[in-house]
Amino acid sequence: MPVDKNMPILIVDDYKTMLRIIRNLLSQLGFNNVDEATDGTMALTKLEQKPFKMVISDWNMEPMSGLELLKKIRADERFKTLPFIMITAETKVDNVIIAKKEGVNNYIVKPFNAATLKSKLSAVLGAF
Amino acid sequence: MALAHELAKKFIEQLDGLHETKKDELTIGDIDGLFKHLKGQERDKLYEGIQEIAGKIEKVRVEISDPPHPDKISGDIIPDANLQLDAVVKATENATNQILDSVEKIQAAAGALEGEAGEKIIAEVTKIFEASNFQDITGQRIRKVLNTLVDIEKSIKSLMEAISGKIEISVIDVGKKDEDPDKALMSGPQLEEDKPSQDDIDKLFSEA
Repeated sequence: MPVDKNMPILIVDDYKTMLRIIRNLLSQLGFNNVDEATDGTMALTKLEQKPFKMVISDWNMEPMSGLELLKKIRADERFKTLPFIMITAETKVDNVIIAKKEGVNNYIVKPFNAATLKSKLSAVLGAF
Repeated sequence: MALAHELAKKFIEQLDGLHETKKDELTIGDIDGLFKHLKGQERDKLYEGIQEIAGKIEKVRVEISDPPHPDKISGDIIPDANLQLDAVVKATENATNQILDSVEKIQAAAGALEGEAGEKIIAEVTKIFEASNFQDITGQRIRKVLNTLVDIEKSIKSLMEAISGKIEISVIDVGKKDEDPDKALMSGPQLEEDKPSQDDIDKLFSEA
């Protein structure tokens, strides 16, 4: 099944420039239906308002980290299988293992490039 | 001991020289004079060495007796450092946004161009977006330093209170590690030489 590039995607990061970068790179890949949240609480509110098909989130945020956001999303039956990609500078072994254990679908290391973003999106959504 | 050995060696060398010159006319007075002369030289050297050490001790004494007051460290120096670092983050964020403003305009204009020229420009514009990741990484590193400074400030305040008798020594806050295990996972970007690549992470992720 071809990937629906009109799918609504939620990107979450407390740095607005990073949201801008991710939005632009997604746009270059053909994904233009993108919403932003600057923290986990805002992200959860937006998830209630719109049927997002993917979440791309930073880890290092406060007061709610990306890991905590992931846990809350996975704890909700409605979002148990919602694709969730972590884009983060947290690169220790423990981080990767626990993220996977909590149900993250893929893990991108900052700084990243457009090719990596495409590759990881394809791994989760299918080739496009 | 070393000085005595050095002195003895010099004495013998110079006595040999004196003997060569004076031969049978060498007297006890000559030998005594030689010995006193050498002792004087050594004494001068020793005196210079001691003077140097005394100077260094004096410098340290002055520094110890007049350090920045802990109140000044926690009240002025650290908050000022925090403000400076915060200003760096804001400045890089503003500069990055300005760059991205222009780059987006270039991107839009390039999109209207047909053919290879437009594609080449968009490829370069993409590289600029990718490079702009730096602002996020820099901001996270600075935030790490800021958090450390806050911990130091707390420790200094606690120590001051303990010294003044306001609190028990046993409850000094020395910036204990966060009890929340999730917070403990947020250590920020690693140094370049320690940081794994995306390939390393992919391998770890697939094996986890």
